This record gives sequence, C-alpha cells and structure tokens, in this order.
Amino acid sequence: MLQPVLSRIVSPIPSVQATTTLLALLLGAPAGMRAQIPDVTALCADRPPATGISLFSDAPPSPERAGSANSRPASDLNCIDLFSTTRGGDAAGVIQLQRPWSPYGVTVTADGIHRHELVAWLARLPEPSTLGPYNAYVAWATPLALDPVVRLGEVTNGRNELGEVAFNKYLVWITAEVSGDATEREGPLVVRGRSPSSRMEAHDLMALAPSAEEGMTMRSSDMVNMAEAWTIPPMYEGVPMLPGVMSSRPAVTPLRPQVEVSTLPEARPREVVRLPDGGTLDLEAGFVRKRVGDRDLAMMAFNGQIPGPLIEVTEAATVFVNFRNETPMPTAVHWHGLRLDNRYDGVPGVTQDPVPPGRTFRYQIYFPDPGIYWYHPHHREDVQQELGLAGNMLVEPLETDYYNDVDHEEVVMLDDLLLGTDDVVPFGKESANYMLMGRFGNVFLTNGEPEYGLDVDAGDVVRFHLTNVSNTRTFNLSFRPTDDRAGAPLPIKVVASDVSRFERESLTESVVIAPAERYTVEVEFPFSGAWALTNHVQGINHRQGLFLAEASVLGRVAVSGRDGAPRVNTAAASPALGVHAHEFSTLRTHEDVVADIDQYRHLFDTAPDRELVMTLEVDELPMAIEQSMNLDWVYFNPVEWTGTMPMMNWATSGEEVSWILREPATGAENDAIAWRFQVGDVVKIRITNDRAAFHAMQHPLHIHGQRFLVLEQNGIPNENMVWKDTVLLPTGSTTDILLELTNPGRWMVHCHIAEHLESGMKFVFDVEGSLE
Amino acid sequence: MKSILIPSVLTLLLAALPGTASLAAQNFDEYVAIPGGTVALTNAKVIDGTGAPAMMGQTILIEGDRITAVGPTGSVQVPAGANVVDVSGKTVIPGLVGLHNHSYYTGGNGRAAQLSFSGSRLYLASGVTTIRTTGAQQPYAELNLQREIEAGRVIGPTMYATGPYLTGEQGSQTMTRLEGPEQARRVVRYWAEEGVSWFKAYTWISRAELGAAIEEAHRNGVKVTAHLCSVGYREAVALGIDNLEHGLFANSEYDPNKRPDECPPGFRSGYANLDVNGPDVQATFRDMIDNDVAMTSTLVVYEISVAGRPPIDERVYDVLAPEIAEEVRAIAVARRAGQGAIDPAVFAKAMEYERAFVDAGGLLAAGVDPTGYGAAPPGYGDQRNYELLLEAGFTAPEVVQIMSHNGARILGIDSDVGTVEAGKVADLVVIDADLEAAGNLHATEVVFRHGIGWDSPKLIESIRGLVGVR
Repeated sequence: MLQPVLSRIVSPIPSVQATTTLLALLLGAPAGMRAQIPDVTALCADRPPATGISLFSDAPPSPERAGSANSRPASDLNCIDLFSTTRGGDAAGVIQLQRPWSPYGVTVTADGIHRHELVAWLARLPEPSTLGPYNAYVAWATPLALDPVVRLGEVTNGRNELGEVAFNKYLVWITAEVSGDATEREGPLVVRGRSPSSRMEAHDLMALAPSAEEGMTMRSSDMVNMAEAWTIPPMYEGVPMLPGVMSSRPAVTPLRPQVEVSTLPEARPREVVRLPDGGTLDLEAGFVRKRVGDRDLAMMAFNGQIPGPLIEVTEAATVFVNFRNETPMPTAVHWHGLRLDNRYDGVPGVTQDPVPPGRTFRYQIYFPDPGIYWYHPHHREDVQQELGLAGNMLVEPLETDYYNDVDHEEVVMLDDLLLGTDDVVPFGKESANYMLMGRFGNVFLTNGEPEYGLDVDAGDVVRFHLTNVSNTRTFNLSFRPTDDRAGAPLPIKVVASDVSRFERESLTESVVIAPAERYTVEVEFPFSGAWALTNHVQGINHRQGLFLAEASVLGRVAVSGRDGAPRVNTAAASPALGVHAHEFSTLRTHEDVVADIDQYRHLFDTAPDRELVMTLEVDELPMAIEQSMNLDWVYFNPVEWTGTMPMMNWATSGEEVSWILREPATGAENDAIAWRFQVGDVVKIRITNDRAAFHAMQHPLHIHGQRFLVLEQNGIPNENMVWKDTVLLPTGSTTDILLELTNPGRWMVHCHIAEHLESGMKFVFDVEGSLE
Repeated sequence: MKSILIPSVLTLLLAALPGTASLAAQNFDEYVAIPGGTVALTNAKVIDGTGAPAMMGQTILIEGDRITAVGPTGSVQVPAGANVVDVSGKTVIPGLVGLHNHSYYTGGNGRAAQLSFSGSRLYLASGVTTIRTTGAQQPYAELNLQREIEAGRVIGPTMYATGPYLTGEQGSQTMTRLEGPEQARRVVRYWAEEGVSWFKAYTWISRAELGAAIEEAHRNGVKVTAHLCSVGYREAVALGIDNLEHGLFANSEYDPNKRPDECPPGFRSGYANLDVNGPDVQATFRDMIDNDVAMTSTLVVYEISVAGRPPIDERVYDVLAPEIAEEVRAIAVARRAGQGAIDPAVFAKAMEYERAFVDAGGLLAAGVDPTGYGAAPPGYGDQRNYELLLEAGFTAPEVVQIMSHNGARILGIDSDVGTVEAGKVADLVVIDADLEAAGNLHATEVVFRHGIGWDSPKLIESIRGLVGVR
C-alpha cells in the first residue's frame, strides 16, 4: 500500500502535492474520519483515516496560486490526527483545537502562544487489559523536547474533553496506565499525534534557492536598474535569509519624500483639542522633521503633531474639520469607526475626490457612539499613515457611569516604523511593496515616541484607550514587572472595543489588537516600581521551522508610593489599595449593551445571507521566494505576528501579488462585488480566510459606516459580544458576523493591512433608504 | 547557463522524489546491473572483511539474498541456469557498514538539507549497504525513509535510524536540549517506542543525563553512541556507553583544563604532542576494550580543515549541486589556507590514535559524517575514509574489515552482514580494479544489496547535481 502522506512531508513542494493528489486518485478517496467515528466534530470530519503507524498527517491538496472558494475552516490547522502505534491496532482518533473565548480575534497567552481547548474523538481503542496490567487510557501533552509532560486526563472511546494546552509545538500521547488517575506517564504509548504547528521543520533550503541566485529574479518589467535604485532593507536579527532571495528587488521604483529634512518644522507631540458640538478644527497635513532615536526623519503630520491632535468631543456631537493638504500627494481623511454622513467618510473615489496638494475639504463629523476612534488618510495609506498621518478621537459618553471610575485616562496609539540605516525605508511608487505580509516596522512608536512613559501612584487604576495604527502588525500587549521579566503580567480588565462596550467586562493577561482595532481596558498598578508595556509574540523562524519569541518593551509605567497603603481614607473593611480597587475587582455586565444586542439574537442561528472568502493570487514571483513560500505552506500561524521574512516580503509588489475578497456565490472579486442593502437590513456574513491560499495570513477586516457583531468562529459561538467595525480574522478560520445596516450611502469593506488594501482587497456596498 | 540549469533541476526533482518514484511502480530496473536470483561472480579477487589477506580466483555464489558459497573458482558448484558473471581483474569486498552516516547533509554558509533521495542513492552507489545515521535532525523523516527502503520504494542502504541528538542547554536548537536526567529518559523511551535503534549524545550533555539516557536505552533494547565534549571517554565508558564517535577529535579528557560536565573550548589544539602510548591514552583504550566500547573513525569530515591536505577530489564537486560545490570549494580552499584550520599535527595524531586503539585490541569502525563544511558527501566521503585509513597505517584488508565487519559487529548484525562468507546476506561491492593496487574505491562498479546488483555509475548519474539539495 502506498503512503501518499510520506512524500509530502519529506518534501512539501508542489510537485509532490501533485503526486499526492494523483496517488489519492489512484487509491480512491480516503474514507475520512466520519466513516471511522460517526459522531466526530464536523470540523475534523474530513481528516483522512488515521490507522497505521505513520505520524505524518495529511495536509490540504496544494497551495493555490489563485486561491480557492473553500468556505469552511481549515481542518488541518484546527485538528490533530491521532495515529495508533503497533500496540493500538486499528485504533483511530482526531482532536479538535478550539480556542477558549477571549475578547480578541485570537486567544493567546501573555507570551503570545496560542491557547487551545482540546476535544478528542477516539475509536477502537482496545481494552487496556489486553496490553498488559493496565486498566485505563490517559492522554498527555508535551512539547517536542518532551519536557514537561502535562496530564490531560483519562480518555475512553468516544468524545473526550482534554482541557487547555498552550505550547508552540507539541505532541499528544495516549498511553495505557494501571490507573486512570496516573499523574506520571508509565505505561505504553498506544495512540499519538502532533500539533499542526509541529509540521514545520527546517526547510530543505537548497531545494532550489541556490539556482535562483542573481540573474533569475529579474523579470521583464525590470528594465530599469532596480539594483541601484533600491538598497537592501533591514533584516530580522538572528534569522538569516535564503541566499537565493538576496538578489530579489521590488518590481516598482522607490518612492522617497522629496524634501530637505533640515528645512522642515520639528514635529510636536500630540495636543488635545476639545471641540464643542458645532465646533470647528482646522487640520492641515504636511511634512515635519521627526527625531527618532538619533535620526532626523522627514515624516508627515496633522497640524505638525505626531500623533495628530487628539480630538475630544461629547457623544452625539457634530463638529467641522477644515482639512488642508500641504503634502505633495493627493489624500483625504477617513474617520475610522464613525457612523457619520457618507459624504464625509473620506474615501477618495467613493465618497469624494482626493484632495490634491494645496487644496482643502470641509468635513462634517458626527459622533453617534462613545469610545475611541481614529482618523487617517484613505489614499496610499501604506505611505501616509506609516509616515505619521494618524490621530485619535475620544468620544465622551453622555451616560455618567458609562465607564468605571479610574485615576487616569490614557489614549495610547500603537505604531511601528520601518527604518533603514539612514532613513525610512522607501515605499513603492507605482504600487506598494511589502505586498505579501504588509510592512512591519523595526522601531515601535507609542504615541509617536520610541518609549512611552506614565507615572502613577501605587493602587491607581488607569483606563487605556488603545488604537493600533500600524500598517500590518498585530500586537499582544501586557504589563510586565521590569525587575523580573518572567513575572506574572498584571490583570487587564477589558471594557470596550471599537464601537461599544462589551456585554460583560472580562479579565485577560494581554491585549491582542490588530491594525485599526481599538480596545479600552483598565489596569490596576498595585505595587510601586516599574512596569513594562510589552509586546510579546511568537514569530516564526521560517528557515528553521521554529517559533521565535519576540518581546519588545514599548514603554514604562513608573509606580510611586507605599505598597498597600490607601492613598485616601477608605472604609476600614475595605482592603483596597486605591480608591478604585473595589470597582476594579468587580466585573460589570453592561445591561444596555446586552439589551441592544438582544434585538438581534433571533438572527444568530440563521443561515448566512452572504459569504466572502479572503484569498490571494500571485504571479511571477522570483523562484526563490516562491519555493520558500511553498515550503512554508505546510503550516500557517493563525497570526503573522512579525516580519521574519523581510527580503521576500519587501520584494513583492502589486506586480505579482493580489489580495482578494471573493464572493463564492457569484465569483465576483474585490470591486466587482455588488452588494445592495436597505436601511434597516441586518445581514449575516460568513467570512473564510482561505487556508489553501499560496500564503495565507490574518486579515483585519474593516467595514465603513456601520457596526457589526462577531457571532461565531469555526463554529464556536461568541459568548460575550461587542459592536465592532474591524475584526481580526485568523488564518484558516471561518467567522460569522452580523452586520447592522442603519447608515445610507456607499461604504467600503476592506482589509486594514495597508498594503492589502493597496493591492485591491476591498469593495463598496450600497445602503439605500434613509434613517427615518 | 543558469537559465538552463533551473528547468533541468526541476525535471530532476520531479523524477527524484520518492513519491514520484513510487508512482513509477517501483520500476528501478534501469539502475540494476545484475538482477537477483542465482548469480555466480567468478574469478574475483576477494577481500572478505575478516581481516584475512586478499584471495585471488574466487567464485562467489549468490542465491536470492544470501551468499551460499565462496571458494576458488572451479571448486564452487555453480547451479545450472545461474547468471555467471566473470569478474576477472576486479575486486569484491563486503558491502560497507557506515556508522556515522547521517541522512542529512550540511554544507557551507549554514545550508542544510535532508538527503532522503540523493543521499540514499549515493550511499548505495558508493558501496555502503548499511548505515547507522548517528544523529537525526528529523527522526520521523528517517524512520519513514527506513521504511520506504525496506519496502523497496526507495533505493538506498539498510538503515539503522537514530533518535534526536541529546545535548545540554547550550546545544543547537535543532537538537533536544536536555534539562535533566528525567527528560533524557523520557526522550529515549519515546523514540525507542517509535522505532529508532540508536541514540547519539552530543557535546553539551551532562554525565547525569548521559547515564540516564544509556540506562533507559538499554532498558528499551537500543544503544547509545556519542560525539562528546562535556563528558570524557572514560566517564562515558563508566556510564555504560556502547560506542564513541570521532576518535581523538571528541575526547576532551586529556585537556588539563577539563572540568566535569563542561566542554573545554579548543581542547584539540593541545593534542599535537599527545603520547598515544602513554598511560592516559592507554587507560582510555583499556577501559573501552574491557567494556566492549567501540570507536568510530570519521577522518574525512575533519580533513577539509587541515592545512596542506590534497585538494578535494573533483568528483565530489561534480556530484554536488553546482552552487553548493562552489561554496564548498571556496571554504575548502580558505580553510586549507589556515582559516580556523585543524593543525596538521593533530590530524596526524588522530590517525595515530586510531591505529594505536586497534593495536591495543580495540574495535574500530568508520563513517562519513556528511556534515561540517560539506566536502564529505554521503558515500563518496566513506570512500575517502578508505584512503585516509590506509594513510593511517592500516593494510587494505584491515581497512575493509574496519569499514564492513567491524561496523556490523557494533550494530550486532555480524552473524548476517559484514563479510564475504557463505551464509551471509549478499551485500557486496564489485570494484573494477585491483583494490590493493588502486588504493581507492573509485572504480566501484556494482553494489549488491540483498542479492540485487545495482549499477553504481547509473545511480550516481541519477543524483548528479542534487547532492546537498534533496
């Protein structure tokens, strides 16, 4: 009997995939898990038969250069195939990986390791006594180095809940034991499997890379001498690039600010502008000189400030902004998350013409919802936003106890900037480059500075309004003690996101925030000392197939005062550190949010009204890049957290890469999708992030001018909702959202990775009717 | 030139992949010079692997996968219908048993690749019919390769797969970095259950971890060898180890600065004047011999770094992928010229050490170790070892014995494998030369494994340009 799975793992490149497909045809379709375990979860039902002793799980058919129309979650990323050892005979099984609920698009530890609840379906385990002096089966999880080995619990044939596992790569063992209570694995291994992530191995790097050296990467469009025009971008420290990719260059010409830095006005820090209802702000976009570290950079700013002015208004206010474009590029201002009048949404080509250099546009902005919002250009935002054009709007609620009482309120804008040796790394002129994964920065800018700072007293509670304005980076933020970096992070209370508060407040260890998302959270600083605002993620060293921890300190919170001492007199019965300690320890339910959502609950279980697939088309990639990407295809991280493939990513542009939103029902893609709705419609949309895509990655999907709920992901209902305008959709996931259409006009849907938007991953839908 | 290379490499890759080969109904006939059945090789010069001198005019009778008779031509009864092949002027030796023969390869500039396709073929084509992999980067890939070869779906040698490297916290991240004895036991047990037959401990393992690994391995019926540094040879012998790799190059116990459980940096540089007949070295040998611990010679992997050595044979560069060949050549030239080179006196001392070990009664085997800077590819590197062991002072029959019978003894398969004797498995190498006159194995013509005679030049052609790649 041939084993089609072997060749794939030995060499996961397309020719092998084709071979495997052919073999599958010759051998007949696999029976699938359903035939072996009739009650297996739908998500894992298409896993192949798992008898025999090969540990190599099957993977989807092949990378798709043009994407697929598969509108279901990827079973190979969300299931672990279990294989019997020779002892287990024809025992079989599969484990579904479900993420525990979190307020974010993915569920990770403070270190950025994905958390999963494991549910196993097992069949035909023999009576343990037939294997020796054993009476039970016990499941264990262990990283590949087999330390530690964690007991998951006793298992039997059928469905078994195994609890939560958070390792980067791991094995699951099922062993026969004397007792089901065994705390140490003693007995023989009977069934085992390995996590999808552990399929990543060191690349067979030389597969083609050496032959793809200089000379092979230039395409016909490269008539100009790109080698002179571009200099090699910054590398990711500690991750060597494939030799074959080092001669690749973007197929576009470099775009640099054509200004003399020394003549520019120095950028100022953000100022607060409090606008009354009916008030007016003059807002001008132009060049500034910004000092980052020891370098003076030509950047862009609103009113000379990075971040742009913080506009503070009260809920239900209307204000006016006289915008003036003093940059050399056309632009416009989009008011992200606001359900405002369509005419002022700031999308060139849809709601207005771009504002040419030297010209103006008057915006009328309406603030229907309290919370934190932001404004940014919606024209070549990969350039303009990266260079500094972004500002926040803080909408104060009319309701007095909308938020908990706190000691401080901080508006924190998260960003990263990509610097070369002397300057900001040039952009692509004809189209954006960094088109595959988006432009990851190598310097973190928090409220415009490399290091954010805050001083508080011990016991203080701080409300942070967080906004991610980076082009592509998803952050995983926590507050860590600086004296002991391994110490437990501070609990974070999650209150609100995007357009509303959550139904219920919750506590987490970290905040996962994708580009354009906002989260409002509260943190109590109980002890004196310093706390580091840390971004801690698990990137991937693709060349070696290893996870790569990346921990960066974005800023520090200095806490003064005597630990445990009340700052003001409080009731003797209260053990509170600060005046708000009791309030902080209480998790509120926001009944008005629950009630608001209640009106739609009857729609949660209906069939989807629309479907979208997020995928990718690539063409004429340099061979070394294509080969490496093929190798990477064996596993995709749910989130591409960091830029560990700088050369490959940098060399791609709109010439080769098209990111796609596709409607399976019509086959329409991007701008060809024609959705029409009436005011008052509520539509359920199923969005699948195509795992079969040539390089699948997460997409923060933004819908203009409306609000929506995330109903479920991979079939798991969302148990605590919030009104969103941007949702992080992890690789290989299927997510249902419920879109409420109350705001007439022409509204854009797009991926908020700036480069993906530039590649065309967008469309416009019409909402007809009026608010009355 | 490069624009031509790419399609040809692609085509070769398509042809090369195991799955594709399987699709072709395992029709490997084009690579078979002498099909199995009943075969009589007549008029051979035989060096039989027992250490006995060469015998002329021999007939070797093969029936199925076994050698059924060996003796002077004319005295051996050749059955009617046998395929009689006159090998006058040629030499027949046992199939080589390579004891440090990884299934992966590393070249210069940090390149690394699992050579499940080209490595397997090149081993066999070079006369290596049995390998112990002695350290796996991808143990499951090895176990699967072993199974595919056993099932006849991939061309290659009989394999003894190894578990992941066992090393300490300072080891490379592609190895299992142990944090204590319990983890060592766990890793050994798991991979023993998965089917590996050996483990290799590596430079930064502690005595406690090594002892635990050995104990657990023996409990599970598998064995342990080591490329040591933090543990000395005598310490490892006391812990019960089964084999030691690299001879003098990995024994740090003669360094006066050696501290327990630590790897003294650059310890070899002080070995140029080591007295191999002195009490320290003889004590090592005595411990090893008394405890049946063998030594594996891997001279070839060190040779690239030794100043003054002859250039790497061009046939090595010819079989590597062209770009890798260029890199290896550049590194070989640079290192021979003195960049981080091994002192020629230390290299000579390592040869002397191995010779002295055998003189003392020790069991010496050999393997290629296709790692380091890439000048010792699978098979070809084993063949270079033959020349280096001659240079070390062994006779041709002794070298053949080291490279075949001794390896089989260490693997515990010498009742079946490793010599040209009646009753043994028909693993044989036919060299189109008088081996003793030629002084090398370059003229390897046909390699029998399990009674099938593979066409060495055709196998080599099938992987030319892919070694180091796939």
